[in-house]
Amino acid sequence: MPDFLMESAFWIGLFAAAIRFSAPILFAALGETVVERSGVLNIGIEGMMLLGAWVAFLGAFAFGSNAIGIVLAIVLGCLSGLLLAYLSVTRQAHQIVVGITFNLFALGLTSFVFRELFTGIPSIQPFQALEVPVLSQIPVIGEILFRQTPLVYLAYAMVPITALVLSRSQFGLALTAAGEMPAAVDGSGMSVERIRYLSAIIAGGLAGLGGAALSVGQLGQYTDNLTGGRGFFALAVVLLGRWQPVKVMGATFLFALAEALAVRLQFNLGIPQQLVQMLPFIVAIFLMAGLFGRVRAPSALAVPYTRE
Amino acid sequence: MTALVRRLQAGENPQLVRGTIVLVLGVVLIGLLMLALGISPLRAYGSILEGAFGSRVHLAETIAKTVPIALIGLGTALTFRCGLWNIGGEGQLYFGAVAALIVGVEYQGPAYIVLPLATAAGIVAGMFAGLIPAILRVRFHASEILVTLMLNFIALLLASYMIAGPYKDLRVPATVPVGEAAQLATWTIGGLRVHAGLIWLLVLTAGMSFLLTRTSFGYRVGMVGANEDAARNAGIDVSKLRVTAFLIAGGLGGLAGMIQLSAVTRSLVDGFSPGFGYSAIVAALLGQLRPLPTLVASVGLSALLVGAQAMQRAEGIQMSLVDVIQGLLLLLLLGAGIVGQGLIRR
Repeated sequence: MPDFLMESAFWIGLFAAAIRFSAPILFAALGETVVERSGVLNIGIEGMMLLGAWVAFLGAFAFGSNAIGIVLAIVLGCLSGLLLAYLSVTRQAHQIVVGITFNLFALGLTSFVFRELFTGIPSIQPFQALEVPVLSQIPVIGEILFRQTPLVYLAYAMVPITALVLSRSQFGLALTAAGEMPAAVDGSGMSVERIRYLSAIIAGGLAGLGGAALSVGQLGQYTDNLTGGRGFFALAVVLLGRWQPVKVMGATFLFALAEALAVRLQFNLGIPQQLVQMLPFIVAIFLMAGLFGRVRAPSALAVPYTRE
Repeated sequence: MTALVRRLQAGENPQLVRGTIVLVLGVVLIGLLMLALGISPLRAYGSILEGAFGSRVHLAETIAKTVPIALIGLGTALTFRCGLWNIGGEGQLYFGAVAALIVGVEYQGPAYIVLPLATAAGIVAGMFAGLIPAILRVRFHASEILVTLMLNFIALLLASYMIAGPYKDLRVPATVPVGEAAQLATWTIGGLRVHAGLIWLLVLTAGMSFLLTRTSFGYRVGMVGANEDAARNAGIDVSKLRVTAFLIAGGLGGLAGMIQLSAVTRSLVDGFSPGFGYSAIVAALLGQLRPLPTLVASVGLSALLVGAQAMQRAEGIQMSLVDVIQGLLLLLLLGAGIVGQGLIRR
């Protein structure tokens, strides 16, 4: 048994890092949960996260304020969501194609503009940890949970909020219905299109926020293709979490744990960097093999609604 | 030629006409955007075209890059036709390249042994990469979109590991080259340097066309794609069909990787694939999932890739601008309802 596994500091650090890493994906995943529940599949979530990370960094750098960066990220994310809604709902284009295309576009755009503006690796001051008084002093738990940055707290706070909105609010119920029985929603006088537009905008905004949480909230840097597949992890956790916010949170944490473990394994065991970076992806594939039984998606997912 | 023109005039292929109009409008619109950014559209577009077609060397380069894009595109189109969202072409290419690399470096021997061995290794590795999402989809109903995406990242990391680790070449950010025995031949035809992979491409395009239109397999693929439940009721083993399609696509991807390694780069380099797999998806979509149009679209996409590199060298404009152009044009086509219509709905 390698020495470092015996150190409690290792485990505390591991779990704290997992919580920290999970925030960006969690934001995006919650948004994706909302939009998929309404019947729209957003493969472009990776591109939206990337755009969010990119514009948040640019904003923070240009205006010297992380908050401005975050606001810009949310706005750009909402606009992306609007585009997604237009193409998927109004034009009824194939949603998977829309997503793949958008990701390619976002990657090109962010690379192009970023490298026009910067040559080196610029950085900003990311958020500092905000210790929750009293709670953060609890041994072990306090160190893991309550010494995170504000965005992390926000991400986890959004879980019960999203869950409640989806299950208890008028909007949430209409949204779920739009994803399961759009014809019934239409028949009751509500607009399926409007619901899906709204959910897409929300999802875009949250994806953008997730990206901002990564570049501005966590890393303090932006590089080409910063998100590196995190948006796709968000897609996976929505599936694994059966479109329920709390379960989605659990799945997100699992991935973040794999990511945190990968970094530490590389450092402590000297396993080559590239092999260890495969870990989250391999974990994802195993989990996708449905360890938890068959998955039942919202019935109308990725099917545009047309009145018969 | 006149027949084509007549058909266009008769509106026989409205998609093509509308598509062309949207593309032209898009190009103009993007040109205006470029002006706003202070980039000369004439110089940008001009250098792209020049870089892709401007001379024999450029043309040869465009043809060379068409091979991997089209090969992967053929496989991708096949899987799309079965209702499988296989976006793993990039990963399948890399797995094939890695396998071919290992064979090409480790095995000494005459070319007539090493080359087929390397080719087989590439194809099998690609098939393996296709088998995983296939089985997971068929047995566990796992989303093949996500599984293939994950595998793409794994493949990329594996290639990086090869370059940084066991096969590292100390002089360049690449692996050591494969032995001469494993290198595919190149010839000069009509002043153009082409490599043997082109033959593979032409043969396989014809083969795929034959497969889809004249075999019972192709017929069953069409049925599954149109209506999965009806096909199953008609007695078609949908699962087996899908696994087969994925194996074919994976094999094509792996072959593309082997060819690219063996004929073009000779070693696994950093940036081995400038997104061939993703270009292939676009090519398949633009080609309406049909082999010959996919090939034609692949030429166009290859031209963009080659032209982009030339544009950066000649005008100092970043390559990623072409990604932006491509993305915008595609989004326009999607909005106009030209690409992605009539595809299998999940």
